[in-house]
Amino acid sequence: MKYRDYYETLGVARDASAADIKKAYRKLAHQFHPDVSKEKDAEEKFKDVAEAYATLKDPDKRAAYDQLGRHSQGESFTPPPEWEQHFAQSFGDSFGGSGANFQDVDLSDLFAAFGGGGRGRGRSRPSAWPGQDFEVNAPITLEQIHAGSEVDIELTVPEVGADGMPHRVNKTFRVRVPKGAEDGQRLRLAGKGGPGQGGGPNGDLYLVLSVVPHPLYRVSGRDLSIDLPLAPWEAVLGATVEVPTLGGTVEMNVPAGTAAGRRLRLSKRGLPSAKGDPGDLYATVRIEVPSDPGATERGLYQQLKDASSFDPRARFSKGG
Amino acid sequence: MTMAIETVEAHWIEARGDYSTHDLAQLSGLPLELIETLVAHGALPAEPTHAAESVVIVRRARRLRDDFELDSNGFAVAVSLLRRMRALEQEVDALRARFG
Repeated sequence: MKYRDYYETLGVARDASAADIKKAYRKLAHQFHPDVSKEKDAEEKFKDVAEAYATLKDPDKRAAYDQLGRHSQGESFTPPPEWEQHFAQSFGDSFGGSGANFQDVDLSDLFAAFGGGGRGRGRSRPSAWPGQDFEVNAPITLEQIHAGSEVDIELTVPEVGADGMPHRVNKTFRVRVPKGAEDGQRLRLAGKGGPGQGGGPNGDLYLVLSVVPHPLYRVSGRDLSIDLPLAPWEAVLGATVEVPTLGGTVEMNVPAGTAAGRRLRLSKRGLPSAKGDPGDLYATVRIEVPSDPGATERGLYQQLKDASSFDPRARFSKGG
Repeated sequence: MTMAIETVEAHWIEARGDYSTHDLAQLSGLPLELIETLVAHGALPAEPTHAAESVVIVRRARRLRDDFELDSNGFAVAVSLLRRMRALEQEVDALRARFG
């Protein structure tokens, strides 16, 4: 079994008071809680912090943890033999009690079992408790949403094996994402969370779809927006331009006299909907100018300047 | 460590238009009375059914309650603020999509 130094994780001394432990936990929770923090790897860091606090805040668990003595972070160690019996009581009669299997148990699962999943105390076999719910982010591209697809979600979950022992296993769930999924949408995979204890049901696994930022499109609900660069002459004279959509390239008529910032709508070219009409694609016009015009182009622009009476700032002289 | 690929059928929370107060309690892992208190305090709309979004918000608030050891008042405030935050996020998304 691998040792985890919970005191080090929380940044407190081994003789820290309960108040100091709580204070350290709260500080780190504010820093790393996935619902609060934007820090990279916040979720993983918070899991470590929460695991450490779940053990050290409970006097019984802390005393049991302290019995393990001091080890380095990640060092292999052998827990006291009586722990195996406590563990067997928590995880049912099917537990065979082989020392080799017990060595594979995760330290956090061991302490959760000691406390009846963290919800109670006592050394007797706990009553039925449902397993823990897990929630993980599942990145998905706009192309996958548009076409509907299968995504593979890889994660490490506790699972009770045939010997009745919980082990951490790497699992890959292949989930069908139907056309029209949305950013932030939740998928509930019933019974795929943590194992229940004492005959309780397994927890659920929730996948939260997270749309990967797209180099071209911005998303608002079912609608997409794209910047549509136009040459000055296209904006003035009008043009037929090609616009990329998720369903393929389409031609769009740009009316003559189109100003920068104008939004042109391509009906039903946004994201599909599971319930009704698809969204629209909005093209926001940007006027681009050549960064290094040649002599001929410069000459033509000069001619245009001389010939035109257009004053784009006329409203300034009229006070707005 | 073992590796396996499992193809699973998933239940889309958003696939249903509305959830009863009982559903909301079950999916969020909270007692029914607490959900009713949220409605009574105005943290959730006083409707017979709740939008899928409320499931997501209440589950998130429950995590905050558990991890920050919030009392019932703090929990109700968290639900209200999460609802407000969600509405603002949608507004920001719409503006960002429009103006880049």
